[in-house]
Amino acid sequence: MRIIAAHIYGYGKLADRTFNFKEGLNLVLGKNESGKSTLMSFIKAMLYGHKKNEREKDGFIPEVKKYKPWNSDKYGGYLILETDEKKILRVERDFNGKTLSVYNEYGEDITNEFSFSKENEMLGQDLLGMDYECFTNSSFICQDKSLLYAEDKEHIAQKLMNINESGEEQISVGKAVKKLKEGITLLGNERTKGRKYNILSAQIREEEIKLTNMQNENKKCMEYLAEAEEIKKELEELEKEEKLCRKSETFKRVNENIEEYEGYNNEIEPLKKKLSDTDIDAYEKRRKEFDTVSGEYKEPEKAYEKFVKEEKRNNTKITAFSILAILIIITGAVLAITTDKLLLLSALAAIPFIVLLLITRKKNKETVNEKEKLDDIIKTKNELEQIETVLGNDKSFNDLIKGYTGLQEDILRKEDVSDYNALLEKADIYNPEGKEPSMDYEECLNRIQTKKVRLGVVKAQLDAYMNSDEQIASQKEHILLLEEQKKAVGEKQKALQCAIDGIEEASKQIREEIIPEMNKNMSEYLEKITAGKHDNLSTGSTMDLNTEHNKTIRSVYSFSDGTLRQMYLAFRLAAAKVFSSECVTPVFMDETLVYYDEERKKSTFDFLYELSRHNQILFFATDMENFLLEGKDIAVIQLSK
Amino acid sequence: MVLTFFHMADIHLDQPFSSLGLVEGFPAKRREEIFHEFMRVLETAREEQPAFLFIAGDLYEHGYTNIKRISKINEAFSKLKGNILLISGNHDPESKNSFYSHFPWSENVHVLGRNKPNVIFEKEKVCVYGIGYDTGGGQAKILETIRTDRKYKNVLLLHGDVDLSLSTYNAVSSDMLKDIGFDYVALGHNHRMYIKDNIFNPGSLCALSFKEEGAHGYFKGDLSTGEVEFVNSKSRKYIDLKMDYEKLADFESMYPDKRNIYRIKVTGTKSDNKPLAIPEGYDYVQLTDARTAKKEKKAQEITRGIKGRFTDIMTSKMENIPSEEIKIYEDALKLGLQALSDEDLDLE
Repeated sequence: MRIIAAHIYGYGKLADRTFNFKEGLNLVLGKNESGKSTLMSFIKAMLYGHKKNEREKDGFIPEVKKYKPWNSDKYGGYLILETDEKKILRVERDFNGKTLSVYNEYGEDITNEFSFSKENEMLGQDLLGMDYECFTNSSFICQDKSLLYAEDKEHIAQKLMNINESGEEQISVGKAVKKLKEGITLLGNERTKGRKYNILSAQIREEEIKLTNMQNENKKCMEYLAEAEEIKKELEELEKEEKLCRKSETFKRVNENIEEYEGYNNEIEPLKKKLSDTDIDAYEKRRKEFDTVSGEYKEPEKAYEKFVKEEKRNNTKITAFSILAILIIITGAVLAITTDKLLLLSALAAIPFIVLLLITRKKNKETVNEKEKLDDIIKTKNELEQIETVLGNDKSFNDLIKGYTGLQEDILRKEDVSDYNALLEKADIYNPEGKEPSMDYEECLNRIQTKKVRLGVVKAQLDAYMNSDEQIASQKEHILLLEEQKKAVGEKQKALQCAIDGIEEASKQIREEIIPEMNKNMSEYLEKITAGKHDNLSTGSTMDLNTEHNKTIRSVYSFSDGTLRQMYLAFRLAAAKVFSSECVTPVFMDETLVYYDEERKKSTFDFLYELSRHNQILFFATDMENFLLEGKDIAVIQLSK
Repeated sequence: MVLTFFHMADIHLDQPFSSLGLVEGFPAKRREEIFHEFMRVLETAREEQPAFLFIAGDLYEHGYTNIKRISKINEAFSKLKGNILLISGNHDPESKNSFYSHFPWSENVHVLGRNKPNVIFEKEKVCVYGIGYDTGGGQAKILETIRTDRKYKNVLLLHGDVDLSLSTYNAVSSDMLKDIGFDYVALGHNHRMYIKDNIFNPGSLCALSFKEEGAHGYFKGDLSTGEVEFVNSKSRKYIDLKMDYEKLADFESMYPDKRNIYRIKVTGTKSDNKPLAIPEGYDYVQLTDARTAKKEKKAQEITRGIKGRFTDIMTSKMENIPSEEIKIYEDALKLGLQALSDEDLDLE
């Protein structure tokens, strides 16, 4: 491919300018700041576009920004090109709208025929057969600041080494691989500390401990449930035992009470037998009658005694009167018989005594009646007193019976039964029928109490679990996410290793395919550039760049800066040839000979002129010595400020 | 006598959903949804009052369910008029310490298993056998000892596989079940709904993973008439799709239900490195970028520098590796190019 013309609508300081180029060597001359670099950048941007995603940092300005037109709204232009197949193309770009259009000589839009152009505007890739990296590393030889300082041999040598490894001067395979390996190390492994792998591992361990604790708590909860169930069963058993204890004790107590009850019966029965059958009503009637009768006698015994004495006295009187009367009568009779009958009359003297006797007898009869009446009263009184004694005894017995009965009633009340039979029935009800409690009541109650306390504790624990909102599954998910992250670290390391393998494989391919060709071309070009002083620029497995000089292999480091620069140019041109493969690539050079001595300039420029028969060369320079131009057909394009 | 029943299985309450971790909080949300769906079925049972509720194992996840959840379930059980028959599954196995063994279940709940292989409901003339799963393995051997009595309707609750001889989960044959003479076999374990003769497997009540795309729900029926119908649950569906990138724009019109859980494997050609745009408004959409990188011109046609060669090597490797490793190689390509450009490596 060659460039026929470049028209700039607006690009950096250049606006509305047309540059025509010929086949062969084109010399673009211009003072500093005249726009040489701008034109080079324009051509590069027309072919490959601006590098995407470049960010402004540390004083670096992305090209798309750097070349924004100063005096024009239009940002872009067009190139007229001739392809290797001799077809004329017009390539138009608008850097504002980021559009690329390719037209054929009939003005038809044929952009879609170029696959790289269609997708990522990499027209150069279609036309030159080189990707952007290759282009900038080979045929596009711009002013490299590092080359302005000739002492920086190391830098140039490094670029040559990079080419050896990667085919590209800016790329160091060793550095890239080292970086990737560092990435693997940085992510860490089981033997490292504090790295992402280790942090995640530690987090997983920590979270797994939490998970285990949560699951253990859940197990404990189930154990508490089991314990609660067990305690409830035990309590049921103990409560049965307690019932049996109570039954047994009640049975024992009821039996004791029955015995006591019956003991009172044994006391009551003889007492009942001792009770008289006195008719209290009859007694009370008699007593009432007696009290009425005896009311006038306060002390009947004394009255009786008085009557007895009176009777006695009366009887004495009667006896005395009788005796006296008899004695008078007898005396009268005796006198009458003995003395004078008339004296019988003297017996009449007995009459007063007889009268007295009769009076006394009558009086005594009354006394005797009174005495008899009193005797009856006294007898009745005594009888009543006897009855009262019996009644008094009965009362005592009854009181005792009542006492015993009261005790029996206490027993019935205590056992909460109505009568003796009910008490017997109760004994029957509480009969344990041979079942004996295995422990005493007190111990049973203690055990129940202990179990109930434990059940309370267990229930409290279960309540605590019941109120917990802990989500074990969420914890598990959290761990699984961390494990995913850890797996991602592993995968990242695998990816890094894959990248290393891929890069090494690519590097090997380059060494195997590109480098021999590079070596051949480099040697050929170097020989021409140095007018036969150096040749056989080559590389070996040690990655060292060497050259064969006077039949001996020498390291490029051992050469002067000037030679090193020639070697560098040889490699760039060789790279341009190798990378462009079948295509003919225009070569762009910016102040390439500025640090060369005259001899070197001449040999190099002669070589370039020879090269321009095959490749179009656009050589940008501030000026050019005449001796270099002599005898050469060169198109000179003058740039003015 | 009307002997209505509900039959469900494999509810898997409190199952972790690590595969749904893409949306923060979604796994927990999904867990609660499944619980609510289960409770909704119990509420339906409370209204319709079936005589029996059969749950054929894997009601909950043994390692993850807590007493609070079990209490709520039990409370709902206690409100049902019918009897609830439970068996253990391989996810909630019968063990020394389990909620099945020790939780104070409501009186109408009967946990069948090794200690209590069957229960007879004299009034209803129904005998229910239960063969679950315990930490020692399946309990299917008990089947050999079962002799059904024709004066009862005989029901078997089984957590296992029928006619899958290679299965280690209570594998039994349908012929054997037929010979024993069960009127209704309430199966659980397989998450896919199926019916074979009188063997009914409702599958999981709610879909639990992308492998479970079919119908999910429970059976309800009547033992006296033999009528059984399947009732779909109201839970979200899992939808696993493979879609061409070009058709991804039509996703919303093709799948308007935004509640469902989608996993879309996007196929086609990858023309740029832009991440796939997740359809908006959907509760859960997981996109897997399975697009293949656009094949670039071969090395023979264009000479490449190391980046181009490296890209070629990685791209051709991607064509010959299992799909799950493609991501690693894509990442390797990106990292390699970063390293070659001396950029910071994206190690996140």
